[in-house]
Amino acid sequence: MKDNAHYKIIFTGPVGAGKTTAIAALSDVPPVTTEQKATDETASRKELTTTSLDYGIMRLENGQSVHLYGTPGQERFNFMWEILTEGGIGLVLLLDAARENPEQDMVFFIEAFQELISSTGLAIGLSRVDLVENADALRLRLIEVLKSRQLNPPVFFVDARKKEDIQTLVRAMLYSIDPGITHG
Amino acid sequence: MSQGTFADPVRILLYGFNQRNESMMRQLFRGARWRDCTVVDDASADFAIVDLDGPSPEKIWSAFRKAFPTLFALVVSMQLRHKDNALFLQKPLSMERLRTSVDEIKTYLKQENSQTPTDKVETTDAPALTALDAAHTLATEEDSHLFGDKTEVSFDDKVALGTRMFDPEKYLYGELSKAIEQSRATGKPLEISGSLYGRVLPGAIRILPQENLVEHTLRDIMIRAMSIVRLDSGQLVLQTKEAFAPLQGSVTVNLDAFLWEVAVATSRGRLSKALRMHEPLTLQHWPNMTQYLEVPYSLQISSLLVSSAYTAQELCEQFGIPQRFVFSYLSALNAIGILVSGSSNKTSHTTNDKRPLRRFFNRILERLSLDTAS
Repeated sequence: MKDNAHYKIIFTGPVGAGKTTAIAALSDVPPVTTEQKATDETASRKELTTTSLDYGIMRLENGQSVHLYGTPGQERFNFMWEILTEGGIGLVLLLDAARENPEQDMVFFIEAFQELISSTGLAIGLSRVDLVENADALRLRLIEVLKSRQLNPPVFFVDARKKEDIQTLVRAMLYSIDPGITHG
Repeated sequence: MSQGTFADPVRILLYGFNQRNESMMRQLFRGARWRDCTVVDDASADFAIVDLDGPSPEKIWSAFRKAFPTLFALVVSMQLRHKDNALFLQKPLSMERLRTSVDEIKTYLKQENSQTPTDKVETTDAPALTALDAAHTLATEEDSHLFGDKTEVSFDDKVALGTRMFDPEKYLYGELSKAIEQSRATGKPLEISGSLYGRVLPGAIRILPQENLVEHTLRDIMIRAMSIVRLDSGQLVLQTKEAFAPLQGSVTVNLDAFLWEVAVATSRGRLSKALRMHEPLTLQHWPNMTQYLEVPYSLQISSLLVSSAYTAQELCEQFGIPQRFVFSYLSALNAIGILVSGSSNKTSHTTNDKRPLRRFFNRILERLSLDTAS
């Protein structure tokens, strides 16, 4: 592969699931983020929301880089998703366990990114699990829905503020694409 | 060893590597984390890294010893190859393990160089590599404590293999599993209390099946101790009873995470007898890894078992994963009930597989693992 190839990991999910925070946890540079004061239904969940994309970069020892892109959380920006996913090596889907219907959110995003998922890999992080009564049961329900779609990706509880949670999720995604990789 | 004075950066000779791997190693030692090391091509080296996975490993080793009779070596290989005046590191190499080994060798070399000639004469009768062994022991103490004996046993040697298995029924692990099963079946909380070495335990464990939680009033070190003492020794006595009153001053943890930790502590690198060494196993789904004590190689093993069925032996031999980690991890997976027998149809995932992004992924993993360690 060419050293200057533009390879990306895409972070997606609904508003407030922690995409911006997750990218900040991995990026070597302060992430570029385009947040604005929310004016629509998003305003009830967070004051600022990402209106175009988040961008970060993770530098590797040989000079190569992995580009980290976060999609805007609001559905009205989904025209950008196809452009963003070009060169994607995998998708990290962050779901907010405290939203009304996380299963529905998950189905929406895996359908929207079906092409990327089928050609690369997927890992799902379930955030804000401390705010729901039985997060274990919710996780198992999500796994059942995924299995009914012939998918069996890693689904982990994450706190996007905890770097090690996001690292574990990304490592699992890489292994799920190629279990023969040998590091770590 | 080099006759010069040992000082940073440590000079490393690469020996026995094929061109591609040597180039990768040189690239690695140029990285930010290896500024204390430099690769040299002559006898000025402080030590050598010798790859014994070439077509004639014994010839490579003989040639190396002929050229560098006293140079200390770090031998790397997929197979166990213990050599004189050398430390062995089993492949697949990870950045962390390589870093640990190089640090151990640096400690050893520094100690050797700081000794006066008189010291050296006085210590001739001492076992070779005492300082290195001590450094190694220190570096791996936690790892050995939790994951047991590092030596690998032959899968054909039934006696040796028997020493790498344990019966969960004889430990807290078995008692806890039964209590959880009973509690879930009845929907009623159960409490485990008892005594260790004749003294009443300074706390108890209460299972809350509805909430999928455990509350307990025991320190982690006590739970670890309870996990490794056999019930049939009479030194650990446990009682399980219904208990509706909450435990005062307790901590609450996820039930599966608690059982997982007890299973890993009990296993100490051994396989639960509830599983068989040669039985193909598969995972129903990934465990919730951010919530559990991580066993080395657990993500790789999970990714393999989610897509195909493998025996413990295949995981060790085909992927070079140390037995103790495979055994501990399979025991933990079995404890939380997501490991099932599977057919042996496999997707090809060998480490020799040439996938276009594999090297790139390795670099990302290396970077993420580095961050985790820092």
